[in-house]
Amino acid sequence: MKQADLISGVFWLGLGAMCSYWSVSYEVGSLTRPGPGLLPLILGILLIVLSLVLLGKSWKENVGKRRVLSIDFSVGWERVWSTVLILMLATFSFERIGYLLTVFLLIVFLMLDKDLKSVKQAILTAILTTAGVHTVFVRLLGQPFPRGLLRF
Amino acid sequence: MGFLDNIALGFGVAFSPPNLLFCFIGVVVGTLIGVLPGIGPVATISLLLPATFGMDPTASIIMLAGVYYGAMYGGSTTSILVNIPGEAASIITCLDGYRMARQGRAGPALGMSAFGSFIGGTASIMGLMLLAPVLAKAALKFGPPEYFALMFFGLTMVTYLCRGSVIKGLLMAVAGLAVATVGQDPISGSTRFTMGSITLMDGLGLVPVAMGVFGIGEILTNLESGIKQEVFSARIGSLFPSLQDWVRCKWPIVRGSLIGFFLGILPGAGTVIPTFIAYAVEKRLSRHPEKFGTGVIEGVASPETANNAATGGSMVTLLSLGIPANIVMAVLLGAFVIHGIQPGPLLISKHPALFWGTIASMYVGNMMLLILNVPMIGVWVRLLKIPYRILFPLVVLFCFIGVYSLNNNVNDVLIMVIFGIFGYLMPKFGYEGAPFLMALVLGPMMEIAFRQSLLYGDSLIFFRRPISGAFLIFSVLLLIAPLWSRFAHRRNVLEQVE
Repeated sequence: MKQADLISGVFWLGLGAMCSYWSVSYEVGSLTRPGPGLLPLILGILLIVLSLVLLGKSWKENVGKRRVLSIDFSVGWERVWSTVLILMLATFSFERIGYLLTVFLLIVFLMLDKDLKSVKQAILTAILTTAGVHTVFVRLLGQPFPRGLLRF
Repeated sequence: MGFLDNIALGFGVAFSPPNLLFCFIGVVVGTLIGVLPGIGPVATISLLLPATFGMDPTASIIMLAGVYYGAMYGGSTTSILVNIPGEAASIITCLDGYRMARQGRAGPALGMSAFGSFIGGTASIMGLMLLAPVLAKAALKFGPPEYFALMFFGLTMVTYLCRGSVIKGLLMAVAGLAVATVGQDPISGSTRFTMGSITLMDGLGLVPVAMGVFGIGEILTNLESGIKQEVFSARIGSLFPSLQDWVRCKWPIVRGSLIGFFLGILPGAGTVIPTFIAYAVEKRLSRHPEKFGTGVIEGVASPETANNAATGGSMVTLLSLGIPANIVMAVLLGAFVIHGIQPGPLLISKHPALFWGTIASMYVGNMMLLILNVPMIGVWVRLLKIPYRILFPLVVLFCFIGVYSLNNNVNDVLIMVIFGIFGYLMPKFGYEGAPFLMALVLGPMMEIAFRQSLLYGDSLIFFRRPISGAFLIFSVLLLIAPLWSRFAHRRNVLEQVE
């Protein structure tokens, strides 16, 4: 069975089951007097049926084949997950440490390569970008960004 | 008011100084994001939405529409000079455009692309002017069952035209509809799937989700594949195509305009499919099909004309029926709704200045693009030389700040990041984002139409009314078509074996 189809099929099956279970707790109504739970219930059941079809199809096509096809993650995936991690950290720290520090650190960390060759360029770009964000969004557009640690 | 009076009204609106300025900003931003690989019109329009909150609705729609067709112009520059499509709709232009650049004919390729785009865009606006009012008049007879069936048909088309498995397309569409039910029920007002979160009471916002799936997701994919930009700008030369080039391209441009416009109207076709079909048609009709892919100018003119013609076509269903034909139109629909305007059959009578002004501005914008693009090629080339490792952090920051500015709520940024991961993983598992986002936008409207239809007291109402019945039957046929073709193929194989 294809690894990708197996994982995604199970994910949709779980989502469908959760959606159906949850929607029953709202008023479902009837086909002539529909309540807020009717459409989510139909969609949950559809998700379950379609995910079972996907799993069944994938199993049928690969029956007897031992090899499990893996999902393609190229060599650059570390860069992807480090970017996601940096974004998550920036999201959680934005209101705590403020926009100036967050913007500066976000740009520095996103621009840094593994070999740290580009530190100077990253810091310079980060300073310019932070100044740009402050001028355009805060000074000109009056956006109420969180000030955090640097209160100016 | 007669047709000519409407056109005069439209041009009056489009030529007002603020609207001219916003049209200019829209087309410049559109060309810019079209030129830069990895940033598309969906993410850009989503990002610009908050900036339009305080603007006049007409000016904001003019600007956002400008981003859309401007991106189609810009996409070709990257395809021709870097061999990376700036836009998905310019993928096919790489084949002959980059070859032409390597042969020292980058100038005529860029020039023909700009002129073809202008002609295609202009032709599609004419079509839009003629077709949209007729369709809007017909749509006045539509009730909730017809609207539900039409949206269902649109969603089915998007699913059907997805690459790969139809089951996966359907799963994405159903998941999009399910996600659209998060928040307040549009009829009773009770909350669903909110888990007590105040942020989720308003539902999952279109902008954070679109920015996540199509902005952050795209950036993560590019980071993984590692974009390498080799700008081929040594010999751009004269941008004006020769007389011989024009003779060779006249029919491809005409056919590209027609294919682009009519396929653009079709829900789900977007701007990508028309370019592939236009290219395939030209190759089929050519006396030298073997030369396609080696640097023939028809291979640039035809898809570039088609993608711009498709932009006008896709506006037809949005403006006249209120149904988006593709994802960009879905986001534009969101922009209309944010400004308190419901596109559809009543748009022409209720907001004639907006309707005709937007159409006229597209003509003005196309003119601006032609004038801008020819002398500004040098600027775009310099921009293309910015390394991606400098460009992508700025784009990420732009997304971050833009999404936060929507409601000054950090949870929106979190939603964007989560859907960014979703958008990155989707292609790895063989899924496409278009059905998901279309379903997310259409979801609330579909639910209202669905429940209002059922309140007629007849659960088979959709099949009892001819228009809705026809749309639903077409949808079912589309869904079973892959099964039928597989069955027919299997029968052929069995017959051959016997």
